[in-house]
Amino acid sequence: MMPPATATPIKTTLIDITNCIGCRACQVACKQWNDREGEQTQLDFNLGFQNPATLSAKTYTLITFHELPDDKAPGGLHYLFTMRRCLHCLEPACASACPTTALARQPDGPVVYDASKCIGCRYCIWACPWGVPTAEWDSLAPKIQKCTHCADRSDQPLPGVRNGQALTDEESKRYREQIVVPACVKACPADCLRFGTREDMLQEAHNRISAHPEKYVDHIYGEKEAGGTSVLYLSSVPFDKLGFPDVGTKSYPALSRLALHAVPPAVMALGAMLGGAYAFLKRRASAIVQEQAEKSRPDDHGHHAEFEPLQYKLLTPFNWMLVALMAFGAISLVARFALGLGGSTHLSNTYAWGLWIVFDLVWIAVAAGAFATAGLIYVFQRKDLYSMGRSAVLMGLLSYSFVTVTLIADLGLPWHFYQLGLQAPEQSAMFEVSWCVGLYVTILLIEFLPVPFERWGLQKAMDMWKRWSGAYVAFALTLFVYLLSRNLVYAALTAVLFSFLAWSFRARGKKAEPIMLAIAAVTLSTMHQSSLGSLFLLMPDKLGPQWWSPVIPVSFFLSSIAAGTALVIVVEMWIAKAWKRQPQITQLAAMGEITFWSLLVYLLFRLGDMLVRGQFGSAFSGRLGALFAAELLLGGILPLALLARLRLRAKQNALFIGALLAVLGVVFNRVNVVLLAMRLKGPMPQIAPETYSPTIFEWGISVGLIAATIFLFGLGARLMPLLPREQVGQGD
Amino acid sequence: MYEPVESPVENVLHPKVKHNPLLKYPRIKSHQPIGTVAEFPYVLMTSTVAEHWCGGSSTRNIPWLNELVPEPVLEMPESLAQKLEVKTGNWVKVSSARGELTVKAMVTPRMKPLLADGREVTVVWMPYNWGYRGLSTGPSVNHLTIDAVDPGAGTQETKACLVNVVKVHEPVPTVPRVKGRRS
Repeated sequence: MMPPATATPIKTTLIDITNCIGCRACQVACKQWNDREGEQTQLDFNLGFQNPATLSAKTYTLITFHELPDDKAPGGLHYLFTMRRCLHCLEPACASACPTTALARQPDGPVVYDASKCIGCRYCIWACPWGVPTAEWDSLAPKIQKCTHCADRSDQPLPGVRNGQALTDEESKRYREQIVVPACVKACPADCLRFGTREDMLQEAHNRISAHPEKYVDHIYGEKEAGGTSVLYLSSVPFDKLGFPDVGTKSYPALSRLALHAVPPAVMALGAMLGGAYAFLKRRASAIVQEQAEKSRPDDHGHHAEFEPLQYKLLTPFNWMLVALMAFGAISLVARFALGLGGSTHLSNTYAWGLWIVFDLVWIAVAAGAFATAGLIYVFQRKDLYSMGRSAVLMGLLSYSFVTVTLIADLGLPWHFYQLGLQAPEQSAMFEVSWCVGLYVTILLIEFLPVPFERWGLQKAMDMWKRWSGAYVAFALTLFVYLLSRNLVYAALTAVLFSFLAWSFRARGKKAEPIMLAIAAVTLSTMHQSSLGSLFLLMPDKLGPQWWSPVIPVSFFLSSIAAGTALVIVVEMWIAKAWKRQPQITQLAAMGEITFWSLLVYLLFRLGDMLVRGQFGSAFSGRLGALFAAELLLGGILPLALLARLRLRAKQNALFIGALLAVLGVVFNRVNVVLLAMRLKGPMPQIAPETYSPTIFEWGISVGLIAATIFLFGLGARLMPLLPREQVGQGD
Repeated sequence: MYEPVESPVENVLHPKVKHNPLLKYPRIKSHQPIGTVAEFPYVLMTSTVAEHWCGGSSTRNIPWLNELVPEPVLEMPESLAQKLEVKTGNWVKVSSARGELTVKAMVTPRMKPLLADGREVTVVWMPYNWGYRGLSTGPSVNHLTIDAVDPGAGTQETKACLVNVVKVHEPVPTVPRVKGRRS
């Protein structure tokens, strides 16, 4: 990919490794200019006198020591020193990941950081293929730190006089050339570092290679790497011998840009399709209803079930246990903020994300039951599933709300969250997910509101709800499309489309269907379920090839439907067992069929994609192969077998186990994607990866919030008409 | 050309005159012992590291320089490490006729045994930049070195003396510590 055309020349540092004498003046000068503390470490003896081992929030620049065996060199050793620091990509993955443009590339090259915008999501740490950005883990407000190519040195005022005499223009110019260079370049005594425009530096590098072909390898690291960088290296030995990763020549953000630029048109297309499907299916359904009505009872409620609150006492032993877990969660949350992110978790620059992100990804996937059910009932007129609708929506609402709470704990600087509303990143999956999940929580809330309205007889509120929910949907989706595209034409088209739908499907008469909310739920869910997969598009170098794919967003979306519908089955059956109700086996089996088909489509899609990309050769070898096989077998083939036939599906045990396996398969997939299948190498120079096991507080917050979900769901079922009235009247 | 006071070999160039004939050492017999090669078989070489200056009294109070070289080491050739069963990072006790200290070993292919006077001479190295005060403290190598001086110039013989090295399992209390600005 060509570097983006810019009017400004790109500031570039050329590092000639053959000149470096290992004095480390650059390492100290960098600390001095950037006001970084000295690291308090002991020598890592395997690295010789190199110290510290890796970059960190305190160390932007590091000289690594290399002793290569070389028969021709004196003593049989070739001693090389390499400067490690940010390469300032022309298309930086870190900046494309950033949801608030806190990391951004200046037109003249430097990739700089603005802490006032940063929310501390640490996506940049995982996005960078070299492991350059690092977080201040010992801080209560952990900022990201990285080399800025001394962008702030260029705006320092230069003295106009020297020894009381005004500088001539010539002197000023020379002064400027000598001073306005990065601190490391200024400090280098060995002419290892040169600073200039990218064009000049490339020319210089090519000149040196052609002048001394015996001295250099014919490779300028950074000329093409990851789409080109504005730090270039020359070396006398192949770069892989010095531990430079082969990152390919493609720009990293290109793939996620493709996926994210598809979002705004997809919202419109999906909205139009869902609206059309509804209009068509509704007409057909009402024709059938009319037919039936002519035959039998005139004011039939269709398949609408009656709902009623549960009549159980709340404080059962099980619920006491949940309360205890919630208290544990609350203590963990306090500990998280009292001790800081580094103090309360085992997250590190290697494992920038951990249990909480697994938890978020899993919960959002399994909470897909809410949108799938709403979509099925209203858009696709599957009124037979209506009795499960309310519980599915409440489950979704609680899950998504608590995902948000987890994120507040997980973000390093959550109090900067408002920056998500102020900044306009071009292609950040994190930005998309943040807005989409946020808006979807409001949609879920509005979807659920009729239940409390009905329970407490708030007729006026109900009327308001009927009148305005469609308009809110149009507003929310327009806002979403505008934020993602920053394109007024797109926004206007979205506004027109959804306003038209809202007007067409507006409430007429008493029986209003929340069709607009269902459309919004499906649309927004499709977008963020897939965008959660897009998060990993920037990590082809880390995620195992069995999981990483340019179409991972689609896999994430498809698997979420399977997991979501399966979880609805599991929860409904659990509810029936716990509260001694009759399981609605016909509806559940129908849901099981939907799980079966969505799981089948998901697996076929994923395996087909692997086939197309030729990834099957070594898919089952090694540790990753075992994980993949387990995921495929236990979470794919087994549940498919159990759910395939109606005869088996209609049996409670088979249905339950099949649905449970389907859920666990997707859960396992998310665990693999975030943790187990990631080949993390830690911060630059990627030689000392840390290990990870969640702390008690990390477990505390996750487990506490699961307990809160179950508890609040039980509370909701007792307070509000959530579950269908029992036909035979048992269970009171 | 003379050999230092403590040397494992005879003077190859001038077999009859091993040391400078004007040298007076020991000056005080009771306080200036001379080690023998039987007891102290290895040669200790000392020097500075580029990152610290002299005894380190100024540079070891600068956290940035302490980061670069946070602690002293005894660099030793692989052959000696093999013989002593020492791995890089292990603690070793280094002793001379004058004193002893413990320090971490750094085994490296950079150090090679020398061939002198027909025998293999093993050289180990330690920097002289550490002491008991400062943000980074560590054993001072001058507990080991000899204070013989060149009779003409008065230059010390701290560059070369005889030592013994043994592996120890724990550091003795003079553990090098690194302190700096608290974060």
